[in-house]
Amino acid sequence: MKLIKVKLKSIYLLAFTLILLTGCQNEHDLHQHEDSIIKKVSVDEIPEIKNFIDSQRSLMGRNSDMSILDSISSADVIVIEEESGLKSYTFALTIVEPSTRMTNLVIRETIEGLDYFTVTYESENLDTWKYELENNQEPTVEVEITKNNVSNYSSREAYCEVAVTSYTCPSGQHSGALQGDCVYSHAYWSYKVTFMSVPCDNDGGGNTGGGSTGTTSPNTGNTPTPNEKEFAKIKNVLNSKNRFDPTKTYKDEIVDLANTVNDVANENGRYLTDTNLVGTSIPNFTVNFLFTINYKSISHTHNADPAGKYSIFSFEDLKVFSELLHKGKINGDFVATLSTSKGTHYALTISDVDKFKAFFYAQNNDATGSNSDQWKNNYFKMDGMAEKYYNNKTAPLISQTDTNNENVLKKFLEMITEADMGIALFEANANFTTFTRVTTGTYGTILRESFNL
Amino acid sequence: MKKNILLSILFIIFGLLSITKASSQTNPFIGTWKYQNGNEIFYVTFFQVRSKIEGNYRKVLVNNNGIETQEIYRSNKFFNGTTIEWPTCFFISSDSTSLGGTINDNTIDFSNHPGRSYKSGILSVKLLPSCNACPVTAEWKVKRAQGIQLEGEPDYNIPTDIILTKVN
Repeated sequence: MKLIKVKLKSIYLLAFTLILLTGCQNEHDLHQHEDSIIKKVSVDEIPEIKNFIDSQRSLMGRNSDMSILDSISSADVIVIEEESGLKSYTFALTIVEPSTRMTNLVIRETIEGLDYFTVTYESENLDTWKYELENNQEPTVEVEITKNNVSNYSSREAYCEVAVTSYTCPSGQHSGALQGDCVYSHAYWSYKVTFMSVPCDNDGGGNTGGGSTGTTSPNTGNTPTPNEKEFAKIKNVLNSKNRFDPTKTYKDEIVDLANTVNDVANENGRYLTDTNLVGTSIPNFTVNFLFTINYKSISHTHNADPAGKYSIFSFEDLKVFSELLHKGKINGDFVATLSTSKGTHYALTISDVDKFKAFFYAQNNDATGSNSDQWKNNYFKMDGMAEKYYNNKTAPLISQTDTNNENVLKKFLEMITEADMGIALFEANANFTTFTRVTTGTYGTILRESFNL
Repeated sequence: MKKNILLSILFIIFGLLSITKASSQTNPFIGTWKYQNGNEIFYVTFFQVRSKIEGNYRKVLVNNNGIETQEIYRSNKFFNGTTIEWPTCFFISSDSTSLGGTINDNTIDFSNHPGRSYKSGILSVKLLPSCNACPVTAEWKVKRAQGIQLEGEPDYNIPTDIILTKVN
């Protein structure tokens, strides 16, 4: 079998796609297209494919392709069924690759039988691209896609293939007849990669002519746990590059910020906007942030005030995050970081937007005749919690003068658990390279799970 | 027998009344306090609700004879467009010399912050030294709790640093 390696380029064809999507259904039914169905299954649910893989192993013997077949991840196979009834199956691979590359194996039904090949996605910002895929966001990262034909059914020496990424508006959500009339923002559109056979030109691709030869959809191989999902938000934000200074990531900015914690007079702050601009707040006794900006992240310090400052996020910090969420200035991907003069460093994410909004309902919503009971219930719960944990005159459970950071952390975790607040907390080291998800355990213990940036 | 039951009930009622009265008497903050600045008077009333202290505040305008002519604001107002009264604006506790906790200022103009209807603060009320014949006075301070804030956050409308005099 002759292997051909054709370098493909991703082309975004927003205007030309007419395929409509009706939306996600459940974990195993990802998307329902009018002309195709995308879903995730285990390889055990597709015995004909499992048998095909086994037979290919026998036929091919021990060679490089064999190792690919041995490396497929049997969980979460992405299946795309075309209107014609032909299906393609995309497998994540367990092979070790650089962080800038991800390879999938695709088995595709053709009229002649089953065909298979690998698809490699490469980018300097592949982590961000993966994060966006896993969170159903519009990909903002350009990825170079390479297809390697490995099947002996292939005879495409005379053809190159081009990968076309197609975006589609959710079905029925148009305000007019055109795709451009979609009532959803682009972030909610579905997409898929379609391979088109085209005559080879000198640079091996770029021509959009020819007929469709099948579809695939990137498989990151990840079904993240809740903790991994929250950490992915932190990783994504901290690895974001400053648009004004691409040599620096946001992590570099907050490490710089952490060096200001010994300021006796003022708190300091940095922020990352949704367009990756990094800003610095004016140092102040109470650091201020604009409410007109869309934020990916807000970072601040609790400085070395002789009167004492909390070693953890304050209740007012949380209130401000809730107000920004209410105003639509942050979303569920928001990350807050904190560094304190007591040596603590934390990252906080919103794991459940609805719960977080609900807990601060009275803070951000006027009471009216129709919501007064809900408002009052929330008012007493929220302000009661603030009083119990932070503001109590004689014995607040979280105190500015408490130097026992573990005790303060424990009480904070108890509070967010008691409040069912919908936030997740991670401890960080001073360099913000290692993180520990901290949750309340039984009998006053703290459960910890480690992550590396 | 009936007489005994009646006596027992009366005994219990008198007992409860005595406890309540003693509690009021031993807590020096229960009652009404005022602060006058020109023709404006700021009143605060603390009262016992079961084991907790709650309160209300209001600000009025008086004429030169000290007669109230206009109410400027009150904490126990109605929610907009309803006859539903605001709940307490105090989440506080006290001992024999000081009172403190959370106070909510619901008199601020939040027209630039739709949805907001109050701003929380940390309240500290401390009794000041007094003589037998002198009025009882206390220092009243309100400050924002520690935390970041958004640009344009309005200041408190209620007094933040005054000396209150106990009225009754």
